[in-house]
Amino acid sequence: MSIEPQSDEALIASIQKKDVVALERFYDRHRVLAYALALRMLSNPSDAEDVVQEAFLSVWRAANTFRSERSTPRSWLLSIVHHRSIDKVRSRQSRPKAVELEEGMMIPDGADVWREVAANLTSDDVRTALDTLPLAQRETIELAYFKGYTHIQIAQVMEVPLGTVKGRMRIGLHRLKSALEGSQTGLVIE
Amino acid sequence: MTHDDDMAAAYVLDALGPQELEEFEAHLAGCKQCQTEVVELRQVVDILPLAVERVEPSAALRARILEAAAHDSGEAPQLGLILGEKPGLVAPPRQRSRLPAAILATAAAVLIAVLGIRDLELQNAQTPQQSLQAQVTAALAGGARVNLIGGTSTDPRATASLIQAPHRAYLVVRGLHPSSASTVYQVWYVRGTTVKSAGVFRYSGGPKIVPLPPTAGAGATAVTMEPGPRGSKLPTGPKLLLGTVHA
Repeated sequence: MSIEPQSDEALIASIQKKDVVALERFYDRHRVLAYALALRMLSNPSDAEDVVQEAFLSVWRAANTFRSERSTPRSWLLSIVHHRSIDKVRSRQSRPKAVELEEGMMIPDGADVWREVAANLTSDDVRTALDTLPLAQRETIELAYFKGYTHIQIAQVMEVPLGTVKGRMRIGLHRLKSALEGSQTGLVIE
Repeated sequence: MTHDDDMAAAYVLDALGPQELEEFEAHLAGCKQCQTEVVELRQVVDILPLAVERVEPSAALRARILEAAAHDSGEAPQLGLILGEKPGLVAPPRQRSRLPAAILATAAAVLIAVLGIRDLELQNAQTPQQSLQAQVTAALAGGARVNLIGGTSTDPRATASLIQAPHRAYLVVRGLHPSSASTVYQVWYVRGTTVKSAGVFRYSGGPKIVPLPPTAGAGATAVTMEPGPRGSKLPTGPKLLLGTVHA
């Protein structure tokens, strides 16, 4: 008889019941991506490990706040890693911390066909899709997401008006979505 | 704030300052158009981490997280969930310890989390290792101190935990390379400038519990590979595991 939970959702359900073995399996499944994201954002292994530790413990402590209709467990974990990393980046800059978006954030429910696309995406798919963006859009998105810059900081760094930065973000993300959808033949996204 | 088509993208990228964030979230609550945009763009942002080159964290991180979870105050791991749902992990009820379930729960969780031991036969010991597992479980239930001992750069995959019971200590190791016929691993207690052998053991894989004498004021412990079968009087091989001992 297998006792291995088959899905991340099953692991989260077990973590909600304080099953430390489930946390162990969830960690083993996602540690590499979580750490890679934190390291990319922080460029410091010690800080990155601190963030990953905080993120998994947040999952452990707040698993009952996870809403499967809003995100996947992996996305939830990575969003926590991202927010914690941004906090560290911005605290280095002696700036106010980002709001803890994963807690109490207003995320409207919506159609989730995309989840099927996302579940089939590979790292190469995402890198390839990013490469299809015009350089300015790609750099804008990367400075915001991977470096924790605010749009105002990006405008200063890239020496362009704030409206240009915001437009690059919106258009870039929409183009990225189209490119990713295109990488997943057979799936139509409405 | 007035509606701005571009704010949702900045929002999902976490690129808003604190005041803008507050204002946008107030606007978002009542703006269906922005809500739709946020949902759509957040799905794209959620896959951005996939673009990052994969990097493995240190082996010690795993132990730190699981130990912290197991010790999390107010969120004590439950024995029934950890053990009761795992066939083969629990002795029949009549053979269980008289220790309170909550204490055993925490002890078992610590064993599983910190030490990486899953094949617990808590009260039905048959082999020397199972007997040691029962001893360690009892020690943890009694509040024994656990020190994490990390692998050095020579053997970064190795990890260990030193459990300090009143009259005995236990080193639970995992991740070392299997010892050869001519070598043993040797545990050292370091007290000031004095290094004293605490024992030798062979290792063939998986988690292994090594019974040790009390740490007796040692400030650090280390594991080296030494010539078998009795080891050395002083360390001669490179340090493979090294960590501070907190009394």
